[in-house]
Amino acid sequence: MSVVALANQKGGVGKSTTAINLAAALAFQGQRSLIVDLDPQGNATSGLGIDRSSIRTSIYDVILKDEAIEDAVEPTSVKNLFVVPATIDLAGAEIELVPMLSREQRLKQALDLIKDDYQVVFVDCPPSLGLLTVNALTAASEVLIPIQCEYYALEGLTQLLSNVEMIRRQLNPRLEVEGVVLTMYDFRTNLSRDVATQVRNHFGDRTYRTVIPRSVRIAEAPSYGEPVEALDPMTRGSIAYRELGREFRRRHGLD
Amino acid sequence: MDLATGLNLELTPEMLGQIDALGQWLEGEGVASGGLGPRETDRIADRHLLDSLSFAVGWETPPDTVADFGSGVGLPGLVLAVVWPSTRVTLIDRSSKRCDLARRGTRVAEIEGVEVVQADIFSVSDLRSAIVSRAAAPASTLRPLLEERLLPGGRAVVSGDGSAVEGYSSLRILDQPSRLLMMQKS
Repeated sequence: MSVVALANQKGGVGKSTTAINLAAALAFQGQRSLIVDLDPQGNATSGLGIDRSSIRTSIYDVILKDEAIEDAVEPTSVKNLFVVPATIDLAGAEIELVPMLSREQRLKQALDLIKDDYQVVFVDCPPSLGLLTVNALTAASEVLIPIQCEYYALEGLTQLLSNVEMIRRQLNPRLEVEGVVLTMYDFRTNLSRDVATQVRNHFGDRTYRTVIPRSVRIAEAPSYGEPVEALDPMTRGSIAYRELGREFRRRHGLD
Repeated sequence: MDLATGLNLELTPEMLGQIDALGQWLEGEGVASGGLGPRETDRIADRHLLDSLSFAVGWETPPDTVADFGSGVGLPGLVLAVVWPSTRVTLIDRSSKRCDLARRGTRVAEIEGVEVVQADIFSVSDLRSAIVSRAAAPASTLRPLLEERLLPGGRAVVSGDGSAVEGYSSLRILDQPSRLLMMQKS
């Protein structure tokens, strides 16, 4: 099982969107996929059509209250795609975790129990580098960094990479930056092209060849509670995430 | 500078020029604007710049990033940004006036790799691998904060002495050269 943390402390760069649509693409391609929503905003949860008021067990209960993670897993409208939802309780978790024993390892301990049930687990991180993100990076085998093709795109990445390195040394020796995905690419602008060039110069082959275009359908999909591929499989956004899914599978040797 | 040799730092003429420019700016605008006390003008080099340089003692090699908690006009962060050119330095201070001053000092001394964030250090939840803090709060006030905000293996150098961390099992004191407290999170 690969556990992939989607991390970038900038907000609005496409972490939840990539978690939902990449995991869905893999699920459509036959891979049993799980999304763990670790962001108190719960965008991955609502974007998959889970009504947050009806959630009985959430990731908060798993990490803070030692509830079984199996009890928190919810099916989605897509076959093979499951989600551990987040509720607003999670907003207080960073503070509640502080005095807890092995506070950095809570998610890892929970995921270890279900590692044989899924081929890929995506952990959707909050837009900060607090204890929740540290939990994600401790549980993960790899980090996938979505980068929005806008000005200031690379701002803050040094701190993320430095934290990844520190966690690799101290808590999780197998952690690596597996890849970078360029999101919200606008083919009409020089800026998108410039950012893409900058990112490829910095991250080299780790940058996914597939870029995710800026797309109205991708932006609309969460309001229907569906991944874009379920909503409109022929739109550019769906095609891009399908291609990203194939590239991900090739890199990970998934059939 | 003997101190730099002792700290394993190689100071290029360009770095010395930047530190000098920073010192001149502190003497002028830094003091006039209230960023440093009115009596500090004559002792900026030793009491402020060299003291700031001594915070480098916590790291054998420059860290990738370092946060300066309660950075005021930018000490020690700006001095560290000069002598560690590949390190990304984040200055954090809750006062917008002090942040503006620090930004100006950064510009005047042409220091790169610095980000200034206006925030209360007690409300920023990011965990960090390297933290410095100079005369921003008593070490006894900082210790619970460092306990929370340092990544495992992360290091902090703050002004103060060992009495500040007694009873904090996860912060190991590595050394305390006279007035600096150097700690590592287990």
